Amino acid sequence: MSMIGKIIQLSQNIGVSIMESIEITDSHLIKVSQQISTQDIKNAVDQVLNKENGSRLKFYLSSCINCGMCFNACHFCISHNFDPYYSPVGKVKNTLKKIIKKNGEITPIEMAKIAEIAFTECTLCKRCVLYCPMGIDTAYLMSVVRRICCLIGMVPQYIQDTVNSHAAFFNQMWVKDDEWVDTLKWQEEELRGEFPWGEIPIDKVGADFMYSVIAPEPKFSPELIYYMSSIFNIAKVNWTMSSQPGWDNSDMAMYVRDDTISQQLKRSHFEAALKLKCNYIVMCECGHAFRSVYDTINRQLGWKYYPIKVIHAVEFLAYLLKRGKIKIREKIKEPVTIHDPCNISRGRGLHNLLREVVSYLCENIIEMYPNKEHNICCGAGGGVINCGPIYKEKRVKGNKVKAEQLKKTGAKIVIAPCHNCHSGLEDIVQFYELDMKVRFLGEIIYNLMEKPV
Amino acid sequence: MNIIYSFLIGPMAWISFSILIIGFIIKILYFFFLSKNKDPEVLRYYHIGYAFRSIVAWNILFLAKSWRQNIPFTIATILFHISIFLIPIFLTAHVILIRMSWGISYFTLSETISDIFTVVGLISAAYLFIRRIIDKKIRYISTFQDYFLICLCFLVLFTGFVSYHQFINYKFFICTHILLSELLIILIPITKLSHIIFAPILRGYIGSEFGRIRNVYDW
Repeated sequence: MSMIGKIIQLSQNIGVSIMESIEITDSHLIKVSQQISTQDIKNAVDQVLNKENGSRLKFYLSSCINCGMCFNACHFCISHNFDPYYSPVGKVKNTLKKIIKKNGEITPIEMAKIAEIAFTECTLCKRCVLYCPMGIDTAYLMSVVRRICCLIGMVPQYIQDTVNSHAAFFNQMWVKDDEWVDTLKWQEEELRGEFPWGEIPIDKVGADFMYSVIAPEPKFSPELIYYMSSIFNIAKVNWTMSSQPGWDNSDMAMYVRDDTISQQLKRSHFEAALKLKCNYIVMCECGHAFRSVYDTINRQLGWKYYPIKVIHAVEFLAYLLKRGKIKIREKIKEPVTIHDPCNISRGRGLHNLLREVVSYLCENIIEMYPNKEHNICCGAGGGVINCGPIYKEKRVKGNKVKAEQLKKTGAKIVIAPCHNCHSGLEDIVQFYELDMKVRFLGEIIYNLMEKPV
Repeated sequence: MNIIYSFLIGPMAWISFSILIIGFIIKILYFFFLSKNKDPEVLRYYHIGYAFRSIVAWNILFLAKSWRQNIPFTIATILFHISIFLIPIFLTAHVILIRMSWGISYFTLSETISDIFTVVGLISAAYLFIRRIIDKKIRYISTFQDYFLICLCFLVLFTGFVSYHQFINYKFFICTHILLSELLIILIPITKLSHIIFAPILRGYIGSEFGRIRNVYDW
């Protein structure tokens, strides 16, 4: 009897509460649900489940044995005291399995709830893949749900707006073509204040590197373009930036699963590089754009890999530092911790390179555990942060575990070479009142490097 | 009872094993052609080396982080899988049955060892079942199939154990044992038990994706 008691004790997590809310926080989703019918949903479900998707969807669903090992994977689940509602398997149960069980006959208001789960309670970070003994890719399953939502227009308004911007201007933030060139000229002018010989070459044919950024940089933080262009200038590499519509490498349509738009975007991105006959595309410190290139959209376009070699800012900066093209004046003495963005660490294995780069810049590196490919997501990726401020509280509360991780390090600076991680971590730092600053690599290197006068 | 016994051990065995093999062949072909037509990247990215690496890594006890984080469950599931794999194939009585019909004979487990494995299998199956009922989190995600299949495995082991030791009513228990086993065999290709074949295939795909594209370990 006592043995059974022990077993029960081991398996039971006392005080676990299961969330079963059907409240929808987004008024836009409710508005959409009033405009569509059950038949529309059924058609979309039929299109996605039977026509567009194949073996992975069917066999992932039929192979899950509901063992519950993915509970330890999801930051939403860990932060809510292992609430099964937030576990990867729970999310699949409440979305895809529900749809299949009801044979697509979902009421619009139920669909709104499903959309909310798929868009705001999963960051598609793929951490659960590492924790599933069957190798089930829950992120893929959630993106299938997002595809259904996209077809019926059941998408949170803010992220839909970025997709509309992608469709109209081929960038994420409604930046017009002349505004983009204007921003570059402005940054060049600033640059000349510091380095009179500095330049930002636009549309230079035959450069080695084409530097591409995401639209929030010219829109909100042009200083990031400034930092990177100073690094390019000081390293004296042959580089250029494009003024063509493919200058923006971001791809929110990938997360909404508006496949037509995301394919056009990536094609235009590569076309812009091909027109300039450059050898490499250097991406800014952004994770999701990198993922769209090597993992997601290349598949949709039928490319095994990509036509021009794409290198992430981390790889590029490591190349410059290793070759001695930029030299570091002094290292940061404050304790520093590194956040591994999912899309470049678990997604592309750049975590060791990131550490090499940071070791050039900082003396005191404190690791967060679990790290590297087992890192915990910032809670903002996968388009979650782009779903707008109404989901901010949910997103930040759902990532208490990251705040605890950060707090444990006692570091003063967090290095996060990804735009989404940057914003997500800043929200966490603010909400949990941590005494930390979130920094990009470009910014740190600009401040620390030797500048010829 | 003798008629039932000879039916179960003769034609019924043929039927159930045919369903198992044909079911698996159909399912694998279905997976292959569905991948070819709708998910071409599954075959395009599949890499035998990385697939093998991933499968081996997940079969090494406590290598994967996931195993280390669920220690009671891991021990139970490993013991359960070992006994449910060894007992049907290497138990003396089963080997004798095979020798009687096909004349093939091979290594058998000694009676004490098979008894130990059976009891271990029973305890771990019971643990897995009780865990599903008691743990609120696991109960939330469990479906009827999960309860039913683990019960069936438990009953197959239990009836086999009772009939081997001939505690009570040998004939009834041996017939029930054979019947339930054949039911289990029939259910393998059409239920979640198909993970016998598809767990390595899917693990292999994810292993290749992580090895080839993501350049990281997937455990």
